[in-house]
Amino acid sequence: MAELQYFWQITVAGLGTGLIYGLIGIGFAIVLNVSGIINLAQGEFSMLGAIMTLYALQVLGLPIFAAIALAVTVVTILGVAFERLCISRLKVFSIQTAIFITLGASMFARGGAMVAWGKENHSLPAFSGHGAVSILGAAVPLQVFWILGIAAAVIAALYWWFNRTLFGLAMRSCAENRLGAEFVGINVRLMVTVSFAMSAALGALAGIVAAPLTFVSFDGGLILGIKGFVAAILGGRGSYLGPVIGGLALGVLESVSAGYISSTYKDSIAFAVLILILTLRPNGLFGRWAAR
Amino acid sequence: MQRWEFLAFVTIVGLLAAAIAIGGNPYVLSVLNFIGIFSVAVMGIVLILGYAGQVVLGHAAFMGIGAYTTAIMTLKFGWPAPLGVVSAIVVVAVVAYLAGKPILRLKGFYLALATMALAVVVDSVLVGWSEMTEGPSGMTGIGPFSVGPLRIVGEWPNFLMIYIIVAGALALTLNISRSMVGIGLRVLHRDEELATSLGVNVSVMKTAAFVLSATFAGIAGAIYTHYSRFISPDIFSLHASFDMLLVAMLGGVWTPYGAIIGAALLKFLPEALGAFRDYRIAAYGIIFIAITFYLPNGIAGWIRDVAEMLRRKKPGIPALVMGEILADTAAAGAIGTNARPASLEVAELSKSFIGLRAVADVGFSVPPNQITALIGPNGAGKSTTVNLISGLFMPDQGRITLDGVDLVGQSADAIARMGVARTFQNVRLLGDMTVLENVMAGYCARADLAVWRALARPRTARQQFRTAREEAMQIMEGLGIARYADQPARELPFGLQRVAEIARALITRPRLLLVDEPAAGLNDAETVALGALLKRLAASGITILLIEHNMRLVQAVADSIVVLHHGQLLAAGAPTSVLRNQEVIEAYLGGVPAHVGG
Amino acid sequence: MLEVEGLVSGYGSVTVLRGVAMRVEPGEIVSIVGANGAGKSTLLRTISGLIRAREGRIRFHGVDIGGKAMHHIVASGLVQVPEGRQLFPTLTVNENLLLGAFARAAWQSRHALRRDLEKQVYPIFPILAERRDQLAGTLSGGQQQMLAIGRALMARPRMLILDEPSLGLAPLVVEELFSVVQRLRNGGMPSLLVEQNARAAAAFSDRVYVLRQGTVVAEGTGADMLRNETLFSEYLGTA
Repeated sequence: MAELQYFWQITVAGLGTGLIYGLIGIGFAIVLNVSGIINLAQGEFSMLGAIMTLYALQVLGLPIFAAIALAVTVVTILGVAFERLCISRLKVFSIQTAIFITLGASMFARGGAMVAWGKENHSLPAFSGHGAVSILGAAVPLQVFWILGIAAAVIAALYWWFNRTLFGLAMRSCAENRLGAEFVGINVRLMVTVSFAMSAALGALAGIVAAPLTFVSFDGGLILGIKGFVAAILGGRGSYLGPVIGGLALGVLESVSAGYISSTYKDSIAFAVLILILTLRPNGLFGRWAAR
Repeated sequence: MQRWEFLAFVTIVGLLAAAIAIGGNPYVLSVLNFIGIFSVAVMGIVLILGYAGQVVLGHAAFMGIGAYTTAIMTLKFGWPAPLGVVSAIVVVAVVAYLAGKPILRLKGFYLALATMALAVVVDSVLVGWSEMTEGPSGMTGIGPFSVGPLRIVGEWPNFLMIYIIVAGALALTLNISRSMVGIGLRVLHRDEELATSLGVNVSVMKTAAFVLSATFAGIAGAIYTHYSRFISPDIFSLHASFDMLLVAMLGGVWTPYGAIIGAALLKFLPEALGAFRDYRIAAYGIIFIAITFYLPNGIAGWIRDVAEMLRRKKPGIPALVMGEILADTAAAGAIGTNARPASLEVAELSKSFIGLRAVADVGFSVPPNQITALIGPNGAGKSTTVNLISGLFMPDQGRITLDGVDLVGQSADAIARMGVARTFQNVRLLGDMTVLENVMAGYCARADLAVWRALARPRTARQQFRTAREEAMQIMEGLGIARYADQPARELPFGLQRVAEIARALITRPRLLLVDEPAAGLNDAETVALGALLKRLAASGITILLIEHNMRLVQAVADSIVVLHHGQLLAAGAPTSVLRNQEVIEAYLGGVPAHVGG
Repeated sequence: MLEVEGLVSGYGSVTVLRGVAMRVEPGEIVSIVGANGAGKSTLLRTISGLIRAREGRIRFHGVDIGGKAMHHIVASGLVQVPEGRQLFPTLTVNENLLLGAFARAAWQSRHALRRDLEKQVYPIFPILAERRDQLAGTLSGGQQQMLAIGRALMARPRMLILDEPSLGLAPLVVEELFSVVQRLRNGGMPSLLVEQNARAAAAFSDRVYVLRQGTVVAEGTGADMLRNETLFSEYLGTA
């Protein structure tokens, strides 16, 4: 019985982190769908969002939700600036230069955060205290409900945007057939900028809601970002629910293997999964990908 | 590596050493040693990224595997250092082969991410397998490199050893770039499909380049271990991989010299930053973005461009008219290719794409030594047929035989090596390579492209390279484009680009030449000259299948015509009868719909 | 309405158009015919802004549109039905059509757009109304071509450009499409189209240009061209 209890507790913990991976994965998918670019700096949006919230909270003394709003806004602006200054200047689109540019941006964000906020780990207070609720015997921190709520809201909002507005439909059409979109009179460049804004905002939000459960550090972005990517590739990028499902699977897998085997290899689980999927199932488990 | 390069290398390193010995700071010597070690690892990146064009992001991991293998073998198992180093090389090569073979099928972002993931997994093993690796705190007490009584201890002996290895790595890397293997890598870097059509087995070659590149990193790691005698996982982390990539890009990833330049700069930069060391990572990020935009060929590329500008007194070669050039050389007569012309038989050939029957039950034959034209309106299935013959597509059913040998099921590169060459509708020359190099690329179909043999027998590899160059020059002479040999292909006038493509096909010694819409983009005079050239080729013993829309050209050169329409065979036979065939004319012009008007 | 003068254009080092002049007047259907590689598609792509002209002028309603971005050109009322249709195969027929209105009505309510659909597209192509919730990729070739034209109409074009509309379609379907283009012309919307099916094009166009190796080699009314046998020999290249 205690065994089962332990397993349940671990699974619930994994679902919490999994949602975060899912949110970050959606950010990846939005940019990839519209622009064809995998933004290796995606995870840095989450890192910056969390650190800036902390800054607004502690230094500016803002209340928590104002701090979050400010952080998300600033990161969104940074995302747009990055797209306008770097990505849109890729005249001859080459995947190699896109990799280097997003990698350089990731290094810059990481280094900049280190200079501005130091190398220490920070922690962000939970939005509504550090209490927990017991569900079938597993202690679920209140913050997980925030994550759940925000994830649900985000998915609903994205569904509305991509299915009910002409603008969202236009973004989908760029993913589907870029040339066709241009012939229809869609400004594809603008759509790419919007996709970066959306994914930056989403990434920041994911980093902020996740921060109270872990800690915030200048170099946490890269790994977190790649895990989001693994979530996206596990679930398939076609729908905006796919990355969330992939994220939940990854979160549970990680949590279970850390709980039963060793936490040393926790990070490499995600990456081993990534290598396996890319080489064995380049189309993802559920969705259509064209990795080859 | 050429003699003057070797002498220059020895002189510069010697002068540096002398300067340090006379009045310098011994600390600088240790910096030089680290530069040497890292430049060897970065030359690995030059091989896989600069030459083969594969964006691989986890090089430090292979350095780590090499470093830890020799450390574990010598420290935990008491092996002598040379055995430790050899085992490091073996382990790295095996890991790189096993991981590389599946991973290198990926492209672009996915390849980059998969190699990043590989690096993270390696890193976590180095941290986690603490019985062997001592975990995150790292391994200390590793012995120096020693063979019997000879112990390499202290900065000076290490300096000597490290720079001998740097010289060796430099020589190997340069030799590869100046061999047919190097040409093959450069082609697959820029256009994999083209490489395949020139007989390059892309997957084998990528894997070989990857294993070699990882081995360089592994060797660097092993030397590092015995030099610094302390290693820890964070030296070989993912971030270290990014730093190495930046070194390669900053110095110039296209040449091993770039590896040395980049390593030197990025090793001295933190020293120069002094109190601002904390800004290092952010600065690296900015540098990375800046060189991607403004200095894509790195500092070595900038030096090359400046040198080129100073040297360039040639006022540019007058762009002659293609027609005149070909007319001039026509007198030269046959272009010997020493190949036995083959006959091609196509029977019951079918290929469908999702919902579309592109080619349906098509059969025709191409007799040896003749020009057979394959014509038909847009969407008739001509391109599909060409791609089926050259092996880019796999037919759903049917037979394709070259002199009785079945081509179906053979890989495209194998078919190219059997003597089927082609030119492309949209000229596929590699614009940044010279015309000579482009033509030499065709020699890949006849060359020994085994990477390890190019390394082990540099003399043979060089000989092969020379032969390719001589043959290429001969063919270009015969076609009148030899004077453009050293110009970048993109500077050639369009008509001559077509000719250069034909030259590239000829050097493969084709027994069957597929010419895909050669007249597209040519004017009347050029088209006439092209026709004369095709006739000359056929006369000198090459079987030609000409895919063409320009009926004048077809009429002028074809010995027989095959017409496709809606993926099916419409007519075949002598030009005069086929072109008078009412069905053929209808297919091209369309009938008048009955009820349209007003 | 549309005037092209001295147009030089191409890709990379290849010059395809070597000084093309042509025009389309209000209420006209104009065809461009020519062999493969003559430059027909390049001409349309240059007009619609996909390729930048090296020399020459393109004027639409008196405004120079050379070098403008494609979305500006579409917004100005010059809308192309591209070769290969370029639909969005995993979006529904309805969504494909709605996207046609993006350039003029990005923020309009879907309700208003749906009214436009009912008024402007479904009466012309009733089959699209029947299949409105089907994915575009599941339509037959002819229906896809209708969808492509319907999508272009949603932009409320002042002039329509059609690139090889008959490619790969059965004769009956081609007839239907051509008659739609004629009805649109009768309603006041001119069309410029490129056709490989030269006789059919000549039969239903008001004027025809023959393009060969990047220049206009002949021009005339559709009826003239049909009677003139040299046109076809010129076109086949067997003269």
